[in-house]
Amino acid sequence: MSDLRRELVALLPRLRRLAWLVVRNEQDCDDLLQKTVERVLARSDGWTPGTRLDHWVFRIMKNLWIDEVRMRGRWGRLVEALPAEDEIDDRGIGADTMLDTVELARLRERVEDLPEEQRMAVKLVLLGEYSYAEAAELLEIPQGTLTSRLARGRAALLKHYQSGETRH
Amino acid sequence: MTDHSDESVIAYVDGRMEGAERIAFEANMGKDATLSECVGTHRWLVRQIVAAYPEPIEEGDEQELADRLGLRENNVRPISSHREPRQPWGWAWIAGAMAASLVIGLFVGQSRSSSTDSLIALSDGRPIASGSLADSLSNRLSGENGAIRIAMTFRTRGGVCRTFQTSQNVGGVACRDGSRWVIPVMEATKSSSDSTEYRLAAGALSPSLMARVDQMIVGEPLGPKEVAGLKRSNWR
Repeated sequence: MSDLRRELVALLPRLRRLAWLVVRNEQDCDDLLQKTVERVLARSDGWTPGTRLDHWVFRIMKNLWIDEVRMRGRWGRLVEALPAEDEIDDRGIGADTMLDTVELARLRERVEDLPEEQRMAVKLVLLGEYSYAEAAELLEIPQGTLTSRLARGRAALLKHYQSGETRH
Repeated sequence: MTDHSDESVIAYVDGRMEGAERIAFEANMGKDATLSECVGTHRWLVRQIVAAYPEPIEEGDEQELADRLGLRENNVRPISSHREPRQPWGWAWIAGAMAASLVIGLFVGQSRSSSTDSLIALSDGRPIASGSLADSLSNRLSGENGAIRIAMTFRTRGGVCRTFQTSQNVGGVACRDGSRWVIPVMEATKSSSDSTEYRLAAGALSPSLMARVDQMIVGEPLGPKEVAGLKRSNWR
């Protein structure tokens, strides 16, 4: 097994978690992971040993997903439905006391409806717990651009609440 | 509110603000109720976003994932190693000769055993639309015509193509070639219950077929006016 392949195997659990942050459902997650692995192996010459393999692989994954999103935008009927509201349980932090599960499902829809660039920034930082510097590097954007996208995405989400869409 | 940008508020909320900047920010919060409320609102939002995604996917064991992805057996085939070169269209686009022959066999079989006309003929080894399929492709602007549905029309580098699906659960792409419709892409899925029946998944075109279309298309799918114009010009 080559060094790249060995390192890639070690990276798989984290890569799958990243794929989950990027996509909207488990089927897409596994499909994206499979495509990413195939693309990485096909372009293995593009990786410089000693550099961050995870960042290189994630960039490949991100670009694959952007291509997919563009294609689905063209063929809108391929876009997967969000999970049904009853699939969202209330085990999350504060779910019992602050919002009911329907409102959390609605918030999740709002997050998924954000422009792709804002959605990825929000998910990587808030759900993936990446630092700004790491998220910016993964997304191949300056850190200032990342914080701008984060701010715009979160402002858009707050706007939904402030417009009275939920009980908050 | 004191002069703090949204970026600085979320940087504070996210714990990404340090040192003197953080101390100054907190001092301002103590003096500025609006700023303090803004921070509280953003903290609340973060809690809700985290709560809205309560089930982080199982990362899975790396060896189990490696097995599933075929990484341990050294059998993951790079995409580029088996992808056909991109062409405007051509028989090579068919996923496999076996699939193609199954599809053609289906049509031939039906034309022999029922009143259904033959929808596809072979010309120099290439499938060509015939009968009501050719008629629908040439004369229908869109929509269904009994057993045949024309879903979309688009341009490629080689000309004009249209997608079709038949009630026999066969879908494909037909591309204008002179006065004929050549069919470079067809798909059918095999029923698990009856080896003589083939079906596509519910809905119109399968994802794999749409992916093929996406590789062929130049620009966007054509609208009704453009399609009508093409029909008037005999699809040229």
